This record gives sequence, structure tokens and C-alpha cells, in this order.
Amino acid sequence: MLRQIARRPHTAILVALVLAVTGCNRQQTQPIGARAPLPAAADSIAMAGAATNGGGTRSDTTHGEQMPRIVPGGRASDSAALAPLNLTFSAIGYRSGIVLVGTAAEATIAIPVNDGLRPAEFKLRLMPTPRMPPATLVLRQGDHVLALRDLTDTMTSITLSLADAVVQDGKAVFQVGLSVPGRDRCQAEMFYRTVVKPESQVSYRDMPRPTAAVNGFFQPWLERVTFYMAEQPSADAAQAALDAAAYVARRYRGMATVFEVKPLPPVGTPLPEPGPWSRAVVWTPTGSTRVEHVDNGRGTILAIAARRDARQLFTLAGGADLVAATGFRTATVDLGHNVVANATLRTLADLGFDSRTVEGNSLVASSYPISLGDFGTSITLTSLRLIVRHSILPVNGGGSLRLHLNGDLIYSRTLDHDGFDAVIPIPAHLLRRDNVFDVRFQVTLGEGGCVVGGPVFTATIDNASAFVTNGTTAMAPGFGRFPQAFVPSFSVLLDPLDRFRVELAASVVGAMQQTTRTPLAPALARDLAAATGPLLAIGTSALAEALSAPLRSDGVRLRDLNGKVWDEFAPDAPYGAMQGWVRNGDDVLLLHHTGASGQPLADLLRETLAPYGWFGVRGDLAIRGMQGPVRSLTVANAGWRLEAEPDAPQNLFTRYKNPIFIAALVILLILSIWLYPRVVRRELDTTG
Amino acid sequence: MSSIRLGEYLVHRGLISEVQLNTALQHQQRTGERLGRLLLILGYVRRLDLARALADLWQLPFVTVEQGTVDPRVAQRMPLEATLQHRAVPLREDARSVTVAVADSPAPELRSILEIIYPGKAIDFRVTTEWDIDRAIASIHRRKVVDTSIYGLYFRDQSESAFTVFTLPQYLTFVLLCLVLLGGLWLAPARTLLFLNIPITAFFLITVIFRTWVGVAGAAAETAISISDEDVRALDNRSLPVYSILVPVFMEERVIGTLLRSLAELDYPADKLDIVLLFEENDPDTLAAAKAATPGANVRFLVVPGGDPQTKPKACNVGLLFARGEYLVVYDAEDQPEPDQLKKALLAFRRGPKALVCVQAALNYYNWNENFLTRMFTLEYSFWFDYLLPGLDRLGLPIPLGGTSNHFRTQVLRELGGWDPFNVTEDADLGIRAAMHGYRVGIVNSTTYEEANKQLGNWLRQRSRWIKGYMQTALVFSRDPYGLVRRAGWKHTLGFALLIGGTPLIFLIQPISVVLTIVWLFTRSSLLESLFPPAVLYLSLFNLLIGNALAIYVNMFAVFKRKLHVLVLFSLFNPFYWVLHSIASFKALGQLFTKPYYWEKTTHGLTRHGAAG
Repeated sequence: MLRQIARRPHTAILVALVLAVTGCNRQQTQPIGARAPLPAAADSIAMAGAATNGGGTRSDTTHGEQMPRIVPGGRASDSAALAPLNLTFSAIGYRSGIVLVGTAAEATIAIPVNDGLRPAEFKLRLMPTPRMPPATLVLRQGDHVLALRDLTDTMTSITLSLADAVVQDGKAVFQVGLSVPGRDRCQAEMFYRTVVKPESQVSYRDMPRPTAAVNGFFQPWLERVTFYMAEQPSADAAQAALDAAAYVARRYRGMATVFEVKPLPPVGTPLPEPGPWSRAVVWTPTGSTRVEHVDNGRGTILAIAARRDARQLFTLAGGADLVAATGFRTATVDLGHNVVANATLRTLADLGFDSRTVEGNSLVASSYPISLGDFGTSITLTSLRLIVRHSILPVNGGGSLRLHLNGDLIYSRTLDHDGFDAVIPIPAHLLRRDNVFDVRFQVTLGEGGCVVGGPVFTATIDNASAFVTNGTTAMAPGFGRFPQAFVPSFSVLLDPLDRFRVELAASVVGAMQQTTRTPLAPALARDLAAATGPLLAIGTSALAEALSAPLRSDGVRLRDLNGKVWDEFAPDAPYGAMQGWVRNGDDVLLLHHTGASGQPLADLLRETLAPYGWFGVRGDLAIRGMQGPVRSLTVANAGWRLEAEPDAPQNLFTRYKNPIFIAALVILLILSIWLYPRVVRRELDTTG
Repeated sequence: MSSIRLGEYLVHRGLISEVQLNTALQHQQRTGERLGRLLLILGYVRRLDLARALADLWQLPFVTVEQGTVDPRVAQRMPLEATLQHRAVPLREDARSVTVAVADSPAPELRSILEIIYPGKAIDFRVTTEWDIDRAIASIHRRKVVDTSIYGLYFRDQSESAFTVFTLPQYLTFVLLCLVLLGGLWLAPARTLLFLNIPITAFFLITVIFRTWVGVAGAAAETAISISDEDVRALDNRSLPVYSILVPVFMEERVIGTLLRSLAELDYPADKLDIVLLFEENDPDTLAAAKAATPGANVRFLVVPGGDPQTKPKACNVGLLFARGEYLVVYDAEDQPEPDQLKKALLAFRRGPKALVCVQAALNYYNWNENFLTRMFTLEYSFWFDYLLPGLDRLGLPIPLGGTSNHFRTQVLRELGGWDPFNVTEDADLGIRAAMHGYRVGIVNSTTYEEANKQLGNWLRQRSRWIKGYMQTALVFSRDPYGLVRRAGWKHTLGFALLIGGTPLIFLIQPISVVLTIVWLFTRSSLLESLFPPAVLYLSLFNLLIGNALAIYVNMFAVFKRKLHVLVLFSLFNPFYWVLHSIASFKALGQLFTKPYYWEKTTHGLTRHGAAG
């Protein structure tokens, strides 16, 4: 890449100019990190020779980026594809199921509803508390009760009709409540736990409506989104794929939607139209951005012809709303929404939380999953201003509040009057990349308060509650810094630029996006010189060398403090590695592989992200050879040593190993024969 | 024939005076030796005159045995053993009689033997000197003497001779191990080196423990078997047997005079000393120097017939054939034994068990403070002879004899086959062989002072020969390991393996360990760490720190016994000295395959120092 720039200085100058101009513009309005790539930098890749087409900027093209012929190939399987849709709770974001605690518990379930579909019924798989008295399960939408069912402690499934459910903005929101009579209500919360298991299903009726326009392309529920590009894609195609990956992760956050990058079929080979629950995005600079319809098909293929169209679609603020409710706008989009201001105060509302009201008789709680990435780069939380309003406790009652961070108690107080507004220090050492703040209320209602009809403790956690932040970094260099370090934007360097590496980068971006509400804005860099700020780099050993990565030798040995070798990769044994460190003040996440095949790297990423996505990634190094498993560990300041196996001597030896040993064998045999009569079968010398 | 008559006859002939006769008779009172020999030793009479006088007294003709006076075909019909036993040489025969030269009055047994060998012939005795007899035997039986001295042990028991360096099974095992090692390095180098390192480290550890154990046992034995001066003084000279002293000399013209002076100072009746100087045929200079030194009448010159290998043990075997003493000791040309050593050895034999075949005196150096090398050599010898060998003795383990000052019962030594001329440490080999045959080797508290090598090249030549000899000995006695264990028992076998097999092995391995340590110290290379998993690393560290410290420590306290306190600090330089051993070991290993019997000659007489105080 560097050499390419060197050969085409005019391109480099142009890129630099554009970067400078756009950078200056942004700096006046956007308080972003000085070295972070500007969101518009992604546009600049295709600026040379720009011409509008379809409202967007015409992209650069590479060989093979031709729109393939679309055939209704998926129709043969339509009967299966169009069978009534059943989705498990796990697939729509309730991976741990729903727990109903106490005698009057209630939980909210929101389900995606694609155009043309209507919710049919819930098939709940339950795990009630043993010896629980017969209870009543209530399903409602607001005040509209949809179903009432008896529930005993032996029932493991129950079906609730959703015939009258109201669907709004592509989703239907339900409240599921459980009333357990006949027991002390204060004790009930200690004992009654009814679990709606993640295998529970929601089924739909009617047929999905064919997608007519771009703004309806990404339906509320999708099983799979496939981005098609050439094996040697253009930079714009790669940028669009990365944006799409982040978008899909945001749009279907928590859902089981799969995003993948596939090669365009060879010229002459048609592309089958996906089924109704899948979408294909085809990067083809020829023609215009459009939804392809074949034989009045279902419109599951989106052809993107211009980089700017892709940006508009995938990075526009409120992308989810855009798809479901608004039209496809062709105006240039300002990516400023992605930039998280280095504000010192971030309310729960800013982070996407509504005010929450909880009710109960003894123990009620509410959890707030908070990712540091939600706050922007180089920011840590110093305190929480917690605003709570609650019902007045009875005369003989009492209550307390406890605040837990990742399981550790960090604050408690007695409840009095009707609320409080407290500033709670947050111990920095308890912070992790992904955190859970648990607000727990423990109340005693006093004599007579625990009977049915007695007072119910109610508390509202105001979403004006806010985290106070400062500009330091809580996490040590390593994977824990990501995606926070990538907020608001980051450079992506793929060396060489090919579909394989785009797919890997898309996987990383998608996985990271799942962990934070803050939209990630990757900006593809043409080469290392053009990459500024935090960097996601994917390449080979050469790239690791160019970045002076901690692990960059072809052969490596992993050793613990005691000198024990835990893993070893000879220079001729390829491996894939992912490592995070700080280079010149910027965080770098590098994925690279040695040897010709990138398979170890692909396997490494797949195994590292399974099953918890980026949530499960820890440490600062993951390494995998041709044969697994992946070694994930913290190397920096943790006692591990990465030792480069000596290249030159070992390679030399490896190269000539066989001839050397064969020569040694021959010499040994010759010596053995030559020495035999001299040291074994000697003749007597009796000439005396 | 009484001695009075011999004396009177010599006085009558004017060959000696009355005074000389009386002096000789007084000596005879003290030692019980024959008058004629006493007169010779005292230098009162010439050997030739004595022989003529004896011929007159015995009424036998005198003859001078010269080239041409002996018919080899007639003489060779009398077996070498009988010839040597009776000192009789058949000269010629005719139809009626056979003429036989003798140096002593013919015994009836000799006459009987001759009548069997030469049936129907009258025996016509002639008198001559002992020297003529020995010279004639060596000349007539040259082929037999050569064969016996070279192949005597081989023909007696091939399995105990180093003529065959490797037996076929040993060789195949060696080649197979090389192939396995090569294959291992090819297929799994790290693992192979690790598996190689484990037994090496363990072997180091075992050797350290063994040597310390033996050294401590030697320290405890320090005063256990000493023979006091009172014991020596209490000896009655008349009860002393004839003691043969074999001194093989080769290119020693510079020290031969000193040697003869040292031997003359021995506290042992001169008339009961049978000193045999063994010259090589191709070394006329030393012979001439010896003649020029005018040795006493108890010194015999024996020229060893030529023939490969030309080694010290071959010369010793020739000397053994001609030795007349009941006991026998071997000294090197530069040796300066303590005067009472023969008596102490004799007392040790008398007090020791019947199985005691050999007594080893300690060796040390009179030029110990000449330079760094001689100091280190002295340190080493002090530990070896003052602690290690006494320790082995106390623990009942086989003792490898030192190069000189080993005293033998002559007859048992002959039964054992003498020295192996193909083994370049024939002494160590003989000690082990004696132990394997159920004999004991003891240590006596007397010292022979030698000249320590002061030149590095000379030292390396000598040391490489010693180590090669240890390798030969180890190979000889490991040919039949099961048989060895059966014959000698586990204790002897393990002692032999650790001392004889372990010594060269340690020195061969040591440089590898040293190089690895240095490489690690300077480079901290991680390459080595795979060879040293924690357990091996800890053992290696133990060997490096504790093992070396122990070796240095025992070396230190060896010096205290000799009261050479100034050498204590030099003990700390042992690790450097061991490097020289390793160099010599690799040279020895190369020679084991290319020149297994080659005798690396040590040059003596380089020192500027005189004899020990």
C-alpha cells in the first residue's frame, strides 16, 4: 500500500487535501479526538473523478463489480420459506429469557413484526416455582388485556393468542404479568420465580409484504444479511460493507441476525433471490441504487451503486427509524450524530434508557447494562447522579437502596420521604468494558403491609440520572479498550484489500457494535500513512511488522513466568493472531496471519467471537495455529512472554534440515563401516 | 658350598680384602642374604670375577654367553617359563651331551627338567653371570617374550583385553544410539534434546553425590590404615623378601640419574632389591645415560624387544617375566618414592587379607608450586590419592590404580595376566580387573613424589591418554554387563561405572553445560528454556551451584592434609581446570577411534625444582 502511494503521489496529495479540508470543517463543530479519522474520510476514498448517480457519488470500481443476473432461484423453497414464521425469544433478543419475580411481577416483551405479518401467538416455555399456588398469567398491551391464563406449578408451556395485538413501527410491545395469590407478599418475592425460557416462541400469520422501496428493505426481523462484493473489491465496496456490518449489528442488536460478506458469483452465474427472511446487498457501481424485483419478486436484493448512498443508508442517525418509518433521503448526511461529545455528563436518556418504574413488596431491582463504549473514547465514569422517586413507606415500614456495579456493592442508603437525588462515586477499578449497574430496593412494609391489597412499594428511576465522566481511560491496553477506543470513529486498514479481509473486518465491527449503543464509524484507509487515530488493521506479517506489533515474528513461543512453554509456532507453522496495544498514543487492534493461508485467522475470529460475540473477548492477545484451540490471554504486564523464534538460523536450518540430516546419516554410516575393522574386528599383528 | 668358602676363596684370590669380607659378613648377619650377592651389592667384587670364582668353587667351567655361543634351536626347546625360573640357558648340544649355562648352583629340579627336555643327553653345566643369562633369554626367546608381553592377556582371556576396542554388540549399540539420536533430532529436536538433557542432568547429580560420598568416606579413612614409623622400624631385615622394582623408561635420559639416586635411597636392604630398568630397543640414549650413572649391582638393565604397541604396560610385562622378587612395584622414571615405602607396602600386605593383591601408595608432586598448572595438578592428586582412593578402599569399591607406586604380589600379578599393553591406563585397568576377580586393592600411607606437568601441551597429552585409558577400561568391563554384575556384584559394578565410565563422560558433557550456561548468561536466550523444564532446571541449578561448590570444597580439604594451605584459593579455579580436562577428553575420544593404543608420551624432566623435601 505504501508503495502504491509512492507510485501515485497525486492520489496521496489529493487524499491529504481532502482530509485536511474536511478535517478543518469538522474541527469547528465536532469535539472529536484530534487524531481520530473524520467520518467524511470514508467518502474521500471515492472522491476522485466523482460524479453523481442516483443521488450518490459514483464509486471507484474494480474488475468483477458487475451486477449479476438475478433469478428467482429461491422460489422453489418458498413453500418452506413462507411457512408461518416462528421466532424464539432467544432469536429476538431475550437470550436469557424473562424472569417474573414475586406475586405481582410484570415484564415487557417487544417483538419485531415485518411488513405484512401479524403476531399470531406466544408459545411460552415456562419454569414455574415448585409448589407455587395456582396463579394467573396476564398478557396485555397497555390497558388492553390480550389473554388471561391459569398457571400452576406443574405447567411447562402455555399458548397465548396475539390476535388483537397492535403493531406500531414494526414492533409489538406486550406486558406479561403474573399474579400469585394467597401468600405473604413480602415473602413471595423471595420464593416465587417464574422463568419464561428463551426457547419460548412467537409465531406470526399472514405473508410478508414484498419490499417496494429502499426504506423498507431492512425489515424489523431478518435472519441473514449478505453483502456481495468482488473478491478484489474497490475501497468503496469495502467501506460500504463495513458500514453495513455496523448498521446490521445496531439495527438487530441482540437478535440472531447474521451478517456475512460473500463474493459475487462469477460472471454469467446468476444470483438467486434470497428468501423473505434474508437480504442480499450487492455492491455494483453500475446502474443506480435500487431494490431489485425479479418477476414481481419479494424485493430482497438491494443494489448499491454509490458510496454515498451506502453511507446514507447505513450510517444515518436513527437508522432503525429510517428503515421502518421514513423515506430514503438522498441528501448528504452529516455523520456528526455518531460523534460522542466528550461531555462530562451523560444521562440515562442519552444512553437510550427510558425512566423505569419498578414495583414490589420486598425486593425490587432494575439493571442497566452500560458499555464504556457508549461514552466515547478515553472516557471513564467517576460518579453517578441517581435520581429516584418512590412511594412513601408505611409508618412501620422501612427500606434501603443498594447500588451494585458488576456484582459489587458500591452504594447503599436508607429510603425516606419520597425520593432522593444522590451523587455516587464509582470505583474505577470495578469498571469493565461492559458493565451492569444493578439498582436494588429492599423494603419492609410493616405490619399488615404484606397482605393482598396492602401498599405496594413503587420507585421510578429517572432517566435524567446521569453518569459523570472524565477524560481518562479506565481500561488497560488490550481488547478491553475496544470498542470504546473506536468511538467516535476509527481507521480500518486492510492489507491487502480483498473480500476475505473485508469479511473479517465486518465481523469485528459487527461484534463490537453489538456491545455499544454508540454507532461505530469505521473509515477505510488506503494505506498506513492515511490511517489516523485508532486503527483496526487486518493483514499479514508484513503489516504486523509495519505496525511494530508486539507479536510480529513468523515463529513465536508463548512462555509463562516459570519458563514453561505453553504454545509454540515454528516459523513455518502458520498462525492467526489478534492483538490490541497502543501505538503512538492510539489503540490498535490488529488481526494478522502468517503463511499464505488466512484460514487460521478466520478460524480464530470465529472461535473467539463464539458464542458471546465481543462480550466474550478478553485479554490483549488471541492466537491460533492451523489446529485450535484459540489461546486468549493478557500478555502485557501479566507474566506471559512472547518470544520470537529466531528467524534466520532456524529458517536456514529448517530450509536445509533434510539435506543436513541425510548428510549426517550418510557420514555416520560411512564412519561406522570405516571404523568397524579398526575398533571391532582387528587382526592380530604377530610379526613381532 | 658354604659362603665362608666363597669369601675365603675370594680373599685368597685377592679379589676382596679381609676387611671387605668381614663387612659383608656383618651385612649378612643383618639381612640373611647370600654372600656373593652382598659382595656384589657392596661393590667389593666385579660380577664377572664373582661368576668365575663360583665356577671354580662349584668345579664347573665358566662361560661367557655371547652372540654365537648359543644355538637358538637347542635353547628354545626349553620353555621360557622354566628358563626364567631356573635362570638356565641351554647353549648347544652334541651327540652325547647338552651344555647349559647357569648363574646359580644347579638344583636337582633343574637337572630333572633338562633330562626330560633332552632325553639321553648328559647335562654339561657352565657358569656365567646373571646378566648374561637374562640377555641370552631375551635374545633367544625374543618372539615368545614379545608375544607374552603383548598378547599374554589377550590369549588368556580376550574379554579382558583392550585389543578389541569395541565388541560387535557394543559397536552396534553405539551406532544404533547414534542413529536414534540423529533420528530424534531430525523429527523432534526439542524433545530429543530434552530427553537427552534429563539423563545427563541426573547423571551429573549422581556423580556429584557419589564423589562427595566417597570423598567423605576417604576423609574418615584418613588415619585408619596408616603404618607408623615404629612399625617400619620394628621390621627384621632378615625377614624381608626380595622386592622387584620395575622402572620402564623411554626417552628419560634427563631423569635417569635422579631416578637411580632416588632408588638408592630406599630404606630396604639393597641386596634384597631387584631393580629392573626396562629400556626400549629404539632408545639407546636412555640406556647409555643409565650406564653412565653407574648403578648398583642390584640394578638390571633389560631391553624390551620392539614391536607394537610400544607401551609402558608391554615393558612392564617383560619386566614381570624377569622379576625375581616376591613383591613387585612399578615406578616411573621421574618418581621419588618415600624411602620407607617398600617396607610400608610389605607391612600392608602382611596385615591385609590374603586377597590383597596390590597396595597403592599416594602420589604427589614435588614441583607443586611451579606454576598454575602444577598447583592445580597437585590439588587434584591430593584429593584423588588422599581422599578418593582411601574412600573407595574403605567402601570396598574397586580402586583404579595410579600410574606408579603400585605394589603387587608378583605371583598373583602373573596369575592375573599382568598389564594390558593395549590399555593406555593399564594401571587403572589392572586395579579393576583385580577387583573383578575377587582381589582387593589397598592404600598405604606413603607417598611417591613425581614431577607435575608444567606445560599445557604436555599436560594435555598425558591427560588425554589417561582419559582414553579410562574409556578403554570402561569398554572392556562393560562388554558383558550381566556377567560383570554376577561376578562383581551391584556395588562394584556401580562403583566402576561411576568412576571409570563416569569420569570421561562427565568431562565430555561438561563443556556442553558450560557453553549452555554462558550462552544463557549473556544472551538470556529462550531457546534453552525448552531444554530445562522446572524439574530439570532445579536439578541443573543444584549441579551448577551445589555440585561445583562441593567439588571445590572437597578439593580444598584435600589440601589441608598435605598442609599446602597456600593452594586453598586455587581450588576456586577448578572450573577452569576442568575445562582443560574436557579438551583432553575430546582428544581422547577421537584417539579412541583412530589410535586406540597410541601412547601419548609425557615428557619428564621439565621442572626446575629438585626432589621433595
